[in-house]
Amino acid sequence: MNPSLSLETIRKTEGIKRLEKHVKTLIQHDKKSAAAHLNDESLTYSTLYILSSTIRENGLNKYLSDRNKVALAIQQDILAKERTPSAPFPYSICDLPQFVQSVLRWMVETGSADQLNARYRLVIDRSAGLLTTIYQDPTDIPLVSELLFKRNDDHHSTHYLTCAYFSSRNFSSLLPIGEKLQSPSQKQVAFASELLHFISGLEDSTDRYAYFRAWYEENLPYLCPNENNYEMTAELSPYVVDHYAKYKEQRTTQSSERHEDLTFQTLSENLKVNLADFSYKLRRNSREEWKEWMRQPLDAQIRLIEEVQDDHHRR
Amino acid sequence: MIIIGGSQKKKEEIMNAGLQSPLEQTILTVMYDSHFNYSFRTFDALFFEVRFRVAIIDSSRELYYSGVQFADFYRSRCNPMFWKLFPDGAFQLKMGVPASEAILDIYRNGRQYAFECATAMIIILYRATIKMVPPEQFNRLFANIRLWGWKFDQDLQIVHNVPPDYLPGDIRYVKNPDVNPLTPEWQGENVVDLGDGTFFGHGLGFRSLEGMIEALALRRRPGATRMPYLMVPATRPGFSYLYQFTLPRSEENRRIILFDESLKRSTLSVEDYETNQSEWIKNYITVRFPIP
Repeated sequence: MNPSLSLETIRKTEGIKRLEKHVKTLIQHDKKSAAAHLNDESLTYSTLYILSSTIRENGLNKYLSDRNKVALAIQQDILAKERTPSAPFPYSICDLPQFVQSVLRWMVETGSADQLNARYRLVIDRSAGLLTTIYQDPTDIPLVSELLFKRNDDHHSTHYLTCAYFSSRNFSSLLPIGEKLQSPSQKQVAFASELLHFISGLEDSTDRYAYFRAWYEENLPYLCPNENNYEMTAELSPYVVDHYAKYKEQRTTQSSERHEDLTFQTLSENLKVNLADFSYKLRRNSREEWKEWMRQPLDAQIRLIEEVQDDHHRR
Repeated sequence: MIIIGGSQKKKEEIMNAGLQSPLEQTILTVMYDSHFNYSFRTFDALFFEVRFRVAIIDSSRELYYSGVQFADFYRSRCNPMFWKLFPDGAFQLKMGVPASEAILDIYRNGRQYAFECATAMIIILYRATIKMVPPEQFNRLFANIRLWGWKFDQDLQIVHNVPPDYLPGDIRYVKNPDVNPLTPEWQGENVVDLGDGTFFGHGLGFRSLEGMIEALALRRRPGATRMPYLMVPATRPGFSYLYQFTLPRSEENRRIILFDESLKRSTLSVEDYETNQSEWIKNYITVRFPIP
């Protein structure tokens, strides 16, 4: 046994069984020294997970670093049938949430590459869900997006992770998915297209990535979180374009409540889309012309759209 | 109101034609008292929908008593004699197994199965379809079933929209917007409207709407501010589409296919078509004869 070898190296070169045996030998020799190996900065969460029962059985917890203690407590909480209050940690109530976030990020960052088993995947997916749902830190979005695509690549369930991902209610969460439209992997492109299915016209476009970028730029100020749910329909539409806001050039809020005037509300979906798109293009072209058009009654506005479209078709 | 073959019918006339149970009558009353025109080509087509709705309710109760358990997709399980369990928690019908037998096995050997609430709803719809459609037709239509949430077989022709009326047998959704991220399987509950003021939800059992809301509220995150609520849309199978499979095969081959304005497909016997041809042509965009 070479005690100077890192636990990561032993796991990678000799496998899980050998790693467990190595740690048990270290514990028999000197618990503190064994803990020092576990507390190594370069340790991954997957290795900690593999050794968690050895740690528990040998009473090693008290020698662990705070990162490892918190990670094992999170793991225990996620896998428990009934969750219970956790033991106090040496942090103030204001510092603890920040520390927990950093540990969750470490767990997902260093643990995503390994699959191990369904319980392990559950811990990783739930930890990612806590990051996006509770902490909602935009810097965690790319990390969770990578995990989402990895799960799909490996044919594992993406259901809860997709819901958690969009629970961030951050429209920029669409960007890492859009980037995957350029992936050399057909499976990733197909999954990205499935997640972005609510973007009308994307499926049929010749350059999906360019289409997505143009759509994102055009509609970002008018996006709203959608109420529907993955468990209610086969496809999730996390965000929708607020056509009224786009038509009137109003910025939307993060609230799912949308306000429309009564006349606009009664129009067909198609007409709402046409009005919103025309309004957007006109004001980009000429703000003066747009103001003039907006001053006209609705039926005159619709007439002008029809004339322009008719003219366009003739040409 | 209820329109049969183009003309409005009296409630008594319909009742006398064959609807008897209190639940069937409740469904009929909602349709009859509605401002919406519930249009059917024949009495049989109306009775099919009403009885299908009752079958959905019966199948919900039977599922509850079968002993199946609630589980998220990580912990789903099924009888390997009939189904292959996929890593994403989906159940795929095994080659050579009749789909009707595999669905019935869930009800016979419930303790071997565990799944989520959306999968439960699809299973209920399949079980109800078996009650309404001959097994050979069912096995032909659903020869390659995969059970996983709402990723349904297209041949159920599921409709998900805001209906003119809510009817017993509808599937509704109680959303839990502030669900605890550690238990995302409780982000909402698909429930069957049992027609007596109660609902069935897999994992929560039989409860009033308030009971469902209360149960989901317990699964919210600490500090949650939003209560669970019943969403407006309802989900139903394509009753008129499935109706055609109740008819004998030889007759089915002689049917006319109609498409309405929303391109929804339905069928009609040649005899019915010929007696009122001008009316059908006026009301439907396309009338197409099937390939013999």
